[in-house]
Order: sequence, then C-alpha cells, then structure tokens
Amino acid sequence: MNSYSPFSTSPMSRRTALLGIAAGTVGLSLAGCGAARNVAESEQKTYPDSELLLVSTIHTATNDYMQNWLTGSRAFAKYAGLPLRIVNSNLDSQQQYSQIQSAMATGKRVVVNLEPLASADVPGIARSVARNGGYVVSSWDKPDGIKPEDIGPSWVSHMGFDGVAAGEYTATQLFEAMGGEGGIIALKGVLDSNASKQRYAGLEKALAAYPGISLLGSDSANWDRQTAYTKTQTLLSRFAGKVNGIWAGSDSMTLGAVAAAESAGVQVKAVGIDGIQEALKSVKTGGPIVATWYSDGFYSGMIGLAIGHAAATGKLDVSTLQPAQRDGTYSQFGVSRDSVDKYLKEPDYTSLMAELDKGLFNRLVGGPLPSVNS
Amino acid sequence: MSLLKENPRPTTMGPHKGITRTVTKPAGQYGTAVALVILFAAFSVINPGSFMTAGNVITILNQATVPLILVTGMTFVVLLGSVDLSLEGTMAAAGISFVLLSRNSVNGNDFQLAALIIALIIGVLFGLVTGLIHNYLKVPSFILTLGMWYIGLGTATILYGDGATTLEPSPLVNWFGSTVFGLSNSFWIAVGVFCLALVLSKWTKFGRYAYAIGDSQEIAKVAGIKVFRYKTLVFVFSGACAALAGVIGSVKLGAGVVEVGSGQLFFTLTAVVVGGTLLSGGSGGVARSMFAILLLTVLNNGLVLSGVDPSIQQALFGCVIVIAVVLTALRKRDVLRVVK
Repeated sequence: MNSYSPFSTSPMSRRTALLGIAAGTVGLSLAGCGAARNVAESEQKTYPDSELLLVSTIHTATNDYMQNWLTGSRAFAKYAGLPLRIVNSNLDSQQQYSQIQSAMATGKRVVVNLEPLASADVPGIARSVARNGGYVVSSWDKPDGIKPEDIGPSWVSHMGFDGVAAGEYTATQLFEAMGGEGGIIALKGVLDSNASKQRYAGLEKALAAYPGISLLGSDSANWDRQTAYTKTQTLLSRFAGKVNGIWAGSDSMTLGAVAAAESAGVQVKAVGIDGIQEALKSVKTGGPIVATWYSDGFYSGMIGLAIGHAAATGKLDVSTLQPAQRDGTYSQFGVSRDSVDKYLKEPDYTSLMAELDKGLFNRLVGGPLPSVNS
Repeated sequence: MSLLKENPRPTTMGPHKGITRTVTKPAGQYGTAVALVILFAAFSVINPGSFMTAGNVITILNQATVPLILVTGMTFVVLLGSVDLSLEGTMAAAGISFVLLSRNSVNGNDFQLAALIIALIIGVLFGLVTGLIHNYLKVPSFILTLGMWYIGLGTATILYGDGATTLEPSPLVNWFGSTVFGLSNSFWIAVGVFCLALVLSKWTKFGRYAYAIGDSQEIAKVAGIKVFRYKTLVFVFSGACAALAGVIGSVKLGAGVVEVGSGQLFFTLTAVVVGGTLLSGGSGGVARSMFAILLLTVLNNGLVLSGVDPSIQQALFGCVIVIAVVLTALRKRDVLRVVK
C-alpha cells in the first residue's frame, strides 16, 4: 500500500493522528469547562410552556414510595398541561445521568425533579441542566458543602428532610408500645446514605431517653425487603427469646423483618419509615407495626416540578428567594394508630391540587440540618 | 517416540508429591464438605451459646431452602457448559403471578394449587424459550439468559402495578409454612427437589446426557444423543426450579415483590463454583453444589451471629469463598492445565 491511500497507516502518520486526536479532545474539554462556567453565572432565563419538558426521576418502579412520587409528578403534569418524562435509574447513577441528558437532547428546556441515587450525583446533573438552560429541584441527598447558589439559578432549590426526627419519633413510639422495657434489633438502610445515617442517629437519641430498652444488635438491609427478611432471621436466632421490638429505617425493611418474625413464631412490635400502604394498614389494624413516618412521596413528586416550573416560566424569581427556600428542610409526619386514618386514603388529583394551592414553600420548616458525616 | 519415553506424562495428576497429595486427593472430592465442617466448628467456637443450637440449625436450614432449589437447576445448566443468568427474573415473574392468583389483598382470586402449577408453567416457558433460542438461533446462553433475566423482571414489574400485593392466609400458603420435625414444608420440598435431581443425574438419560454434552457436545452428537432436546430440557428444569423458588420466596415474604430473587444469582453461581462443578461443563454434580449452599448459608448466618460489622461482612464472605475455591481446585492444579 502506498502512503497516500487513506487506509494505510505508517507508524509516523499513526502517531501524528493519535496526537492530533488527543490534543483535540483536551482542547474541546477545556472549551466545554469554560462554557459551563459562563452559563452557571448567567441570569434566570424564562421560557413559554411550549418549550418545556417535565422530568421526574425515580430509582425503581417497584418501590411504593417511588410510585407515590410518580403519581404526584403526573398530577402536576396534568395541571400544567405539559409532557412528563419519567427517568428510572434502575439503581444506576450513570443511567440516571444519561437519561436526563437524552431528555435534554429533545431540544426542549427541562424542568427536573431530581431524587438523586447518591449525593455525589447532584452537582454533575445540576451543571448539566444549567448548560441546557433548564431548572432542577433536588430532594433528600446532596453533598455537604455545596449549595444551589454555587451552581446558579438553574439549581432552584434543595429540599431536605429531617431523618433524625423521623428515627427518633418511630423509635419513641416503639419503646412506648413496648412499655419502656425490653430488647430491640435495628435495621439500617444503605450504609452510605444520609437518610440512613440520620434515621439511625434519631434512634440513638431515643435510646438515650429510655434506659429500660437495650439495643441487642443492628445490621444493614440496604432498604430491601428480602435482605431484611434474611438478616432478621439470623438476628432473631442470635438473640433468641430476647427480641421484643424491631426498628428499621424504612417500611420496606420493616415488612421483611416482620415476615421473618412471623415465620419464626416470634411476637414483636415494629416500626418503619415512609408510610407505604401496607405499613399503614398494619398500623390501623393493630398489627405488628405500631408507627411509621409519612414521607409523602405524592407531595414531593409534585412540588419539585411545581417549583422548577415556576422558575422556568418566570413566576418565581430565584434571586428573591430566602436562603432557606434554596436549601431547606421540609416537614413530614409521624403516623401512629391515632393519626393513621388521615394517611390511609391516598391523595387524589383534587387533594394534591389543594396542597399545591397552599404555596410552593408551604411545608418549609427551616434551614438545612447539620451534617451527620463526621 | 523416544521423546515421549524420555518425558512421560506423570501418571498422577500433576507434579504433586508427598504431603500435598495426601491433602489434595480428599480436598478435590470432598473439599466443600470438609470446608463446611471446618466452618461449622469455627463458628461454634466463636459463638458457644448461640450457633450450635437447635433453633439456629433450623434457621440455617430454612435459610438454605430457596438457594438449594435454585442450585439444583443451575448445576445441570453449568454441567452443560452453559449458564442461566435469568433465575432472578423467573423467580420474580413466577412469584408475583402466584401471589396474584392466590388469595391476596387486591383481587378476588383464590386458586390454591392451580396458582402454583401456573407459576411453575411460567418457569417452564421461560426455560423452553431459552432452550429453543439457544439451540436453533445459536445465541450463547450467557447473553440470552441475561436478556431473559430482564424480560422476567420487566414482566414482574408490569404485574406488580403500583403497589405490593400481600398474600392472605389460605390452605396452600399455610401448608408451605407449617412445620414437620421443626422444619418448614418448604424445606422438605427443597430436599425433595434435591433428591429428584440426584436421581436424575445418576440414573436417568437426562442426567447422563447432561454430563456427556458438557464434556463434549460434538462427540455426544456423533454418538447419537439428541443434543438439542436434552439441552432444552435442562433449561426447562432450571426455569421450573427458579419458578418454584420464586413461589416459596414470595410465600415467606408474604407478598409479591419484584426483589424476591435479589442476590440469588450471585449466591447460586458462587455455590456451583465453590462446590467444584466446572464452569466449562462435564464435571461436578448436585451433591457438591448442595454442600456448597450449606457452606455459604452457614457462612452468612455465622457472620451475622458473630456480630461482625456489616461493613466488613462482604469482604470476609469473599475471603472465605476464595479459600474454599482454592481448596477445591487444589487437586486440579496440573502444570499443563489452562485457566482463564
């Protein structure tokens, strides 16, 4: 082959080509970084509804909380008359990121209601949305030390929740139901999640107030019902005869644990967090679950889109928001036998719209909570 | 010719001498069982009061129920030299179907035994589709069963709808949970499936041909074995086992959830490998896999029982697996053997 054929590659020309590609890549990425910095500092751009696409993220379609979140998102989409794209990460951060990017590639401006899989995902997604000119509202987790103001008006708001209060409330309800005496086992969520750490910290706070209760042992069940079942089986075996109560960081784990206790023929009282239907029914019928904490996925799924949409259409001026409105803590509700009826009936479109009418920041209760990461 | 005379292949397996041969011969055949005994003893020493109790042994055997059913199906597939990655998906689809057809909290169905049979048929269908596509369209089992896994999960997700369906107590469901000699009927079903698999592997054409096809498919075909038929049957058996495991898993959880099989694929494949069934096929067996399942279940149980920090449980689990595999593979450490 002569050296003029496009398919021949002499060592010299191959090396030159590779160097050229490398230089080009470096150059482009540097240019890209520069561009992002410029967009992040830009003002709040507003668009007509016809240019907007609503995006709502979940992690798995088979989790009741996430199903509630989707119902809330669909309600808002119906109210606003806008298309809604659902991003299911299937527990994969890369999937979440690339699906959001493909939503942006449709040419519309996105309004994203982000429930991140991991804290570390948030800044990257926020910057990406900023480059698109869209808006994002995040919930639950974000890295310590970075705030919406750092990225710009595109990251409108972060909605945090008080996991410590949740863990403390449910633990206290459990200890009261146990008469203040006895042994408990505890199941944590994914060890590295802020929600899990906060809720467990709440449990520890409650334990300090009830000296008659002893924490026999704890383990992590990764928010998973099946894993909770297996871990509880072994823990019940280890502390045979001593377990009177089970505390878990989520209803899904509590339900698995309760099934294991039933299989083993052990009577226990249990508490969870999230307020999914099965748990609420158990609370209502005096079942093993005595209390839970209503995370109100319906509301979160709706209000995140509402806040982002208001910013995107100019109804909300991000520069006039209070610091707590950009990074704050929102209320959730403890559920015990007395209050369960209020939550048993799933909200419908009308009741969700009634909640929306109360104002975008109606449930804001304060600024961000101190970090649990030492 | 003279070259062979000067450098004959050793008549024993590899250049093992002296003490290693004393260790490696039993290690190869009974390695897993030996490791199981060692682990059992170790945990008994670490937890004198709580490990070696009747209650805990019952817990261990109950925990081994679902994995034991899965591993019998998987062993036959691995003996063929193939692999079946779809078991979590089949478990989910069959499990949720069973729940939706039995007495439950969302609809008026109450099909009892028919629900179980339909769930098993779902597993059989998954296996049949896998077997047919693998044989006639020549798709490698790895990627095909990976696809079937997601089809199974997807089917289960659609059936799941917008909330978990809870199982209500009913004659069949209660029967699964009631105990004989302290062990649940689910466990005795698993024992039955294992015994069936033993009989199949030693005394039927199904089993013997599985070994033959795994050893060399070309020779089996030339010898007149209907390779496609028996390969499909193996996948059907594996699918049925996964479906049964999904039903039992759902009954234990008391609800139809898509995660009923989560983590089982890794557990099952690990057991097959630790037990000594070669992934290349043709060698191994259900008995070895059974010991390996007990080994892994004892390990999981022992780690939690000993109060090992959850953050290092996974690392410890992995270390013991590696040691167990090394012990099992010691005998096959022929200098000329190629490992990939």
